[in-house]
Amino acid sequence: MTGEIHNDAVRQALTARDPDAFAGIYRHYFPLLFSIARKYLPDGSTAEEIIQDVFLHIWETAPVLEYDAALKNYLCRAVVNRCLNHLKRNEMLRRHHAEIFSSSEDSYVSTFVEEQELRLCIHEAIEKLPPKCREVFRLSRFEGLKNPEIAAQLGISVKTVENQMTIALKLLRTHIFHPSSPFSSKSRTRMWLFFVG
Amino acid sequence: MGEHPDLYTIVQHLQAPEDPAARAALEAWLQSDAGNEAIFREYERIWTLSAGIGELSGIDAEAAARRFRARLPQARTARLPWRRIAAAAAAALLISAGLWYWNSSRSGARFVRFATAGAIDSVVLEDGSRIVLKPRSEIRYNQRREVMLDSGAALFDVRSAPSQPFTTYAGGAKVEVLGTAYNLASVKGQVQLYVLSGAVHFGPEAGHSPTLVSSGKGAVYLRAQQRVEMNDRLGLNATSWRTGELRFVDASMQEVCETLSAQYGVTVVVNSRNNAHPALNANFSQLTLDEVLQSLSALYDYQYERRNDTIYIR
Repeated sequence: MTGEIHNDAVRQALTARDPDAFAGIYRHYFPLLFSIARKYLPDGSTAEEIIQDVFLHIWETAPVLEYDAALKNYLCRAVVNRCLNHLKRNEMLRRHHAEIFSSSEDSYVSTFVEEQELRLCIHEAIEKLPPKCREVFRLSRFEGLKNPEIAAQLGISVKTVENQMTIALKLLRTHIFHPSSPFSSKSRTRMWLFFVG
Repeated sequence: MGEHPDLYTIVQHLQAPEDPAARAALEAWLQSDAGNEAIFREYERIWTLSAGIGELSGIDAEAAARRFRARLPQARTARLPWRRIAAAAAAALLISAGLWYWNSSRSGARFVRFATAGAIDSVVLEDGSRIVLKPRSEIRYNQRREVMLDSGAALFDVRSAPSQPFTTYAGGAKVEVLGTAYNLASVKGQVQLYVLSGAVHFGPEAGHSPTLVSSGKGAVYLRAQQRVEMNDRLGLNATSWRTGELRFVDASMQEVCETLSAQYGVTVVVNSRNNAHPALNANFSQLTLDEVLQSLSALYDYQYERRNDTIYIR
């Protein structure tokens, strides 16, 4: 998720009662909130319904949010709370009572939200990898294939698979943790030579 | 080759954490420099979090935003925030007191349309009266305290103004009040009224002897017979679309279905040979339709199936 929406945008949409602008804010936060809700609820349509309800509540009540980070915190917390309420109403609570209780604590929720944001960030970065590199990484991490299996599927050598994995991780780390120091063309060339060699 | 032999060591370990040789190589590398631990943690984090990350590819935020947009009003609505009414009114009065007088005498009777799509929304009239509309409802209002409920249902919170009555028209019926709160719903062939506070006059649009309905009472205007009938059961769920509370007291299967379809905007079809359904006594608070249906099928011996906006009960 790149960029943040500030409270101003939300305030403007609410003050002007502009449904299109408000739906734009919904679109911006949807991936993060959806990935959070899906961790609690196996059913995607219930997860989406909960996110809609949170936004409709904001549309109706126009709560005052004091600082800019407040909006995202408010949204994440509201989605988590509604998911937990939903689970409580169902039988699942009786089975996972302790588990759900501990997962409603603030420290857990904030770590969890941070993790989901990072996952979205990684996902975005994967989309930007060179095609071959992306394919190898996908088969390994999404599908859980072993290197020899990936090599067989793509018709390349195991060594190439290993090299591609290495390049993928290197690019991902730079993109995610050190975005201010993009690769110089020199190091990119070096990477390319490494891959070929 | 720069960092790459190190990275190769890390990847070897991540891909085969059980391999002792890969682990030993990693340990040696970690020992060789104090800064290596932090580098390794970053790679490890990416590695761990990317497992099963493919599920994120299925998230279509554009489509989700379109579905959400459908639940908001069609266009910008003229709703004014409750607290700013006084300020706005005062400013308007200062700027154009004369103009307003001229306007109201000329066009105050002109009606403005206000409709809701999938969500509850409200409008505050110039006199301070507030109208909250149920989803998929439509009203027209003017500045002379006249409102037409064209479809759906609405809660009226009317500011008291002894000199001018507040009149609502719906499906051939007329509700006349001075200052009070009431819910009005227009449903096939009838208009349902439930008074929350004060008292109102309820009768046919053109009639001269309206019925007085007071706080806590419900009444139905039957369009075909053009007459008003008191109905105490209306009070149970008249405002549930707003409060989310559903109450059933000795309710028949038919009543339950009608209430559910009004509350959740769905069609309920009962396919049952057994007509002897037990009466329902239950309270549901803030539940989704699926949750209510689950409770009902647990309480009684029916099964339900949901297809889009239609519920089939067997």
